[in-house]
Amino acid sequence: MNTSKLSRRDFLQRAAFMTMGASAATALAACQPAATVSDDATAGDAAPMSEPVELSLWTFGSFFTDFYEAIFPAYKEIAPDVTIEVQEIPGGQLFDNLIASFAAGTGAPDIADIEQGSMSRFFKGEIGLIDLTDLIAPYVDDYVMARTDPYAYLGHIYGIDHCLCPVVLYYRHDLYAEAGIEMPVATWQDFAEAAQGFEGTEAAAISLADRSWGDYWMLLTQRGTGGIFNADGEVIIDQPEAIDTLSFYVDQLTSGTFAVTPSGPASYAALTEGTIAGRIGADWFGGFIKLNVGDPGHGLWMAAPLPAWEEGGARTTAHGGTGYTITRQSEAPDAAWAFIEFALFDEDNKYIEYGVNNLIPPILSMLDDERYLAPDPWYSDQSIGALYRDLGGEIPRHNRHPFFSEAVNLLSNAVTEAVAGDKNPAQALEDMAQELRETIDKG
Amino acid sequence: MHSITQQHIRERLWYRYQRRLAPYLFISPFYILFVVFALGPLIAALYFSMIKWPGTGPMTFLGLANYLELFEDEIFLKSLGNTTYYAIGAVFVILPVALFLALLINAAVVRAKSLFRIAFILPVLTSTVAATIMFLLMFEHQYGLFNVALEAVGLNALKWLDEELVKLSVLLVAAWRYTGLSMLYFLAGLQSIPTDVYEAASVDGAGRWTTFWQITLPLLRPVSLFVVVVSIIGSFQFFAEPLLLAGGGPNNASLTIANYLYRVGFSYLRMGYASAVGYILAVIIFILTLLQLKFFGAFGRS
Repeated sequence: MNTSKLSRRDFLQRAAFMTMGASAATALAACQPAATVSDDATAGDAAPMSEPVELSLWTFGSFFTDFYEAIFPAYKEIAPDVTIEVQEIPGGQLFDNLIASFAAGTGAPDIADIEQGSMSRFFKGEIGLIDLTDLIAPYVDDYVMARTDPYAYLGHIYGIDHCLCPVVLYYRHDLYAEAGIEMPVATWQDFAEAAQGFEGTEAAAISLADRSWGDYWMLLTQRGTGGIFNADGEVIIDQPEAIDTLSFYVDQLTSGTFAVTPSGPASYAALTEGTIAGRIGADWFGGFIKLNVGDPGHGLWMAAPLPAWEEGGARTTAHGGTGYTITRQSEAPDAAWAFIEFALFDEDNKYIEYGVNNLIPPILSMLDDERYLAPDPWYSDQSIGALYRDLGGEIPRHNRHPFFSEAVNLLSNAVTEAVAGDKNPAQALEDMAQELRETIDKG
Repeated sequence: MHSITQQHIRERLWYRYQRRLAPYLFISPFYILFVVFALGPLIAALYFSMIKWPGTGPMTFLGLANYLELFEDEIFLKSLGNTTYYAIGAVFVILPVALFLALLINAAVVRAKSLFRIAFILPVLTSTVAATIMFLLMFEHQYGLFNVALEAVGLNALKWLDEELVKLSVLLVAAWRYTGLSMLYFLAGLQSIPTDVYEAASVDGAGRWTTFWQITLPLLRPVSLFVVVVSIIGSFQFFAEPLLLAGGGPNNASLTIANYLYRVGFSYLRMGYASAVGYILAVIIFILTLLQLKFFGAFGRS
């Protein structure tokens, strides 16, 4: 199926067919297992309307609720028999409620927005989510498949992300120019050398966290080695690339070339004051900088690709994200998928979502749309959208594992110990790998 | 005729038994709720603590393996140490300060007592999340209020949220939030001591210090017992502040047992192991409460 340019009309037509098919499938639910999506869910077979379908959708942020409410009227036009009830459940409570529903065998919604960091725990035991691999298959040429990685385990994809979340380097172009740094810089080694142009000033080129894993994770996944696990689920955090990355990280922080990121909202104070002249982060983080720095930063900031780890290497990675999932308790999984397709693969709907929550679509063909490419006055009239588009296809793949939550807690400790000098980077990661393997063996 | 007789008998039986049944019916809601929401979960949790179960799929019975693993689990032992630190801080730092404040406010010379009472109780009424985020801002190394104040008087800035100091920082937040509540309990206790006892002591020539040790403290014993028991139970259930302030870190340095229970239960989906953590926590609280009751003489005639 060629999905590279799907007109709104074609899409609505197809979605209508699928929704009708979904309604028919619901009527036959008594004869079928509840947790399967019918093979022809995407085939567009028209079927007569039958009983109304009621879908429940759990999400955790008003920015998602606002988006859904914005597209419901259009969906009602093409799927009048489908009613969707959105329940906004704050933060981690949504994931806890989902776990409780899976344990109880009842109470789960049809569709759940799952924040990528909370996803891997659902791979333990019997997975309560539907395998979406075949449903996503028609879109693999256009959808950035690296954005399914946080929701995949051993080749099966259980979720699909709302956003591209490409990581770039946001920087104060005036301060970088004063320090003699010409952006973009080719490699991280070059960047570390160039960052010494800030020596003797009160500012640092960028800052990194000293007590958490997020910044290190971005640099590690940028290398494309898979992260903490390989594709077979084996622990690889003690491999040379990971150690090299942490050594670089620690060296820059302890030498003072890079600064330590102040905790909490104070980090934005440092960006506003200019004591920290750059940060690495995803598209949503670029929005946070703009919002929190505000007018004092207007026209002073730009964005650039990350320096690569080697010439020709990836100049970005992905960070964060939220995925659509369908639970196995859903009695109308076809209708659930039809709605996800409507929300995710329709270019007008994605633009509505961009307007509401600033998330860049993970669908490359959409990024040629002029609406994403407009210059941003706050970012010095740069077309940030063009940068995201150019880098989107470079996002490296990585692997997740049922023990990912345990792994990142251990990784936070390893980064803390290495930055504090309690252990050298190699020892910190080797100890972590050993502990993680033991934890996995215990089950 | 036959049916009338039967109905008559039924009515007589109902009349005879309803007076006996009524009290049980009236008190039954408590017992039903207790069985459903306390005893049932208590027994279920005991069973869960002996299984391996990730929340879905089959359960594997492990016997006491979860408990044996706990005693070799370095993070659990660390969280136990941290929690004990908070409990000791609550009993030996927060409560004496609360008692001192109560004595101060209760003193005849202090005016506007209500104003002070309200001022000290306000932190308890404040949202935990909002208050902890405010403290997070104040603890910040470069921009935080505490370090700005330290530097203003010529002292070095401290890394309040680093491994070495994070427990103290959490304790400071706890002190800010809970001292006022304990003070209120002590104040109520102080105001319930009859004034004629003090007058009699005064006539006998007792000074302030002697009066405090010989009259105030002994007569405050029931209130002190209550406040100490509540403080220790609260410390061992301490959850939100360390989680919001430092996520239990860095390197688990501020992690409490309740934080660890939540982490293994809902992050790692080790439901059986989390239940074992919960049971150990309950046993610790039970033993400590018994010791306190013994220490304060609650089992004696007095």
